[in-house]
Amino acid sequence: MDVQHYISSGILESYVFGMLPEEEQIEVEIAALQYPDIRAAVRALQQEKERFVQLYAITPPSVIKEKILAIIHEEEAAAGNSMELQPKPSLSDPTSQQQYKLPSSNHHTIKPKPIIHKPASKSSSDLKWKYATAAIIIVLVGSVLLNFFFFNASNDYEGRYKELIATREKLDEQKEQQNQTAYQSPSNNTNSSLKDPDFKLTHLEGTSNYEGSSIDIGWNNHSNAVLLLAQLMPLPPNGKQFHLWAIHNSTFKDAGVFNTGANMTKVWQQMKEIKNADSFIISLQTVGSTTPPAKEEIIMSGHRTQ
Amino acid sequence: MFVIYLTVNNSTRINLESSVTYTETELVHGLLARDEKLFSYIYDLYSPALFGVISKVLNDNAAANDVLQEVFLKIWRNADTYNEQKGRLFTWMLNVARNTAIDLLRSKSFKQEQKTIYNTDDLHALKETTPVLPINDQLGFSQVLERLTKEQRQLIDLAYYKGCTQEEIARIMDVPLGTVKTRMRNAIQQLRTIINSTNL
Repeated sequence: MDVQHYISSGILESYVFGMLPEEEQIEVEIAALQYPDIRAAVRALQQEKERFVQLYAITPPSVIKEKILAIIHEEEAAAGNSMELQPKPSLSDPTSQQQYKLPSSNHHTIKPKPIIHKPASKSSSDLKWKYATAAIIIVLVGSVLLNFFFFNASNDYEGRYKELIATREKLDEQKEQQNQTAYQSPSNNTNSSLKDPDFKLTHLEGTSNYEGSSIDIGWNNHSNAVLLLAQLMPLPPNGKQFHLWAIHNSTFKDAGVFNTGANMTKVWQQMKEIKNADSFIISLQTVGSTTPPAKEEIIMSGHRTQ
Repeated sequence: MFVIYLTVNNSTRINLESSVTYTETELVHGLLARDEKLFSYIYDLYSPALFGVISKVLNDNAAANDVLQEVFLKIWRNADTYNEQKGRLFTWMLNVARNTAIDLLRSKSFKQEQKTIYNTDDLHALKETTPVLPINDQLGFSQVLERLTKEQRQLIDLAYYKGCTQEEIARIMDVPLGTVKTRMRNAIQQLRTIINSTNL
């Protein structure tokens, strides 16, 4: 490096007056460490700047010094309490200067402790209070969280209970609707089916013990669908069931079991499909019986309407 | 009243009326040793110069008072960051004062409060309204400044007291960056000549 050229370049003036970016500041500081002439030039400029700024020297209000000294005295007292076993040297008392040895070359080995703004004498109790406060806060937060959790859980159970009730009611409603649908759907179908010209109704009248009873049977010879309306039919005796049979070529065809009673007087019931039927027979048979009825079990009969 | 002899090197002793004298090295070690009495001494010795810089930067007495307090607390608390390789203790303290004041000057809150328009005549206004140490009275405050051109004063003020970079100065003065560097070097050289000739 051409030291003299560097010195005369003006960069040292800019450095001393704080006009250089950080990287160039570091460059000058490194150069000053490496080259004594540069270091001397920088020092000379610094001292001239110090003399220059003395031109603007203004005596500050005395209250500022009092405040500063009060603050540092409080801080120092706190630090002193925390290091009370260590004797504190005082340079302001020349007689005491022999009692301790100052580092001669590297004063940076004396590292003041970080300033503790709170008195050290209270640090122990403060620490306990901090722990206690922290514990209380943790318990409080935990309590709040648990309350919140259980409150939600309680609400959850309550909500689930209500949901179950609602579900049950909905299921009951659906079940009832399904029952009604099961009963009414033949009727609904009947409404449309009966309008079909292929659907023929056969009316049966009771005799003997079932005199006055009547049943309507609808049959579609194309779709083979069979509908039954028990308009006037009593409930069967215990252990007995009413059964619909179709007869074709002297052969019984099972058309299924049907319900009777007051609730069924207007309900068309869907029966088993029948391909061919010459006549229809209503029997009163033992529950579960699937065999064709005996003659004495037949309570109604009628020829199919053409 | 203090009688102050500024140090030229580390071995030169600094005298107070109380006859207690300290070298630069003793000042540094006393500060690091957290000697309150010595710190009080340092305050008495350097606070006028630091307060002058701060006041010049901020042009606001109330803010300058607060910053001066902050600066000396920084000096007390951060004494271990002082590096004697980079300069004397006073230089470091000046840097702390200048940087703290410029940080405030450039803060948005301060700008909003002040809306200060830079004026080179502030130097004279400040001198008329604020007391100065006897040493400056003897030197003749305006005598030095009058030997600088208005442009040179403006350059130094912008650079040192307002913290402007050379690029910012180039924009403010509407001249090329190279011109700013040349003029700044000439201004500082002129300042050095004046300072040395007046034996400040």
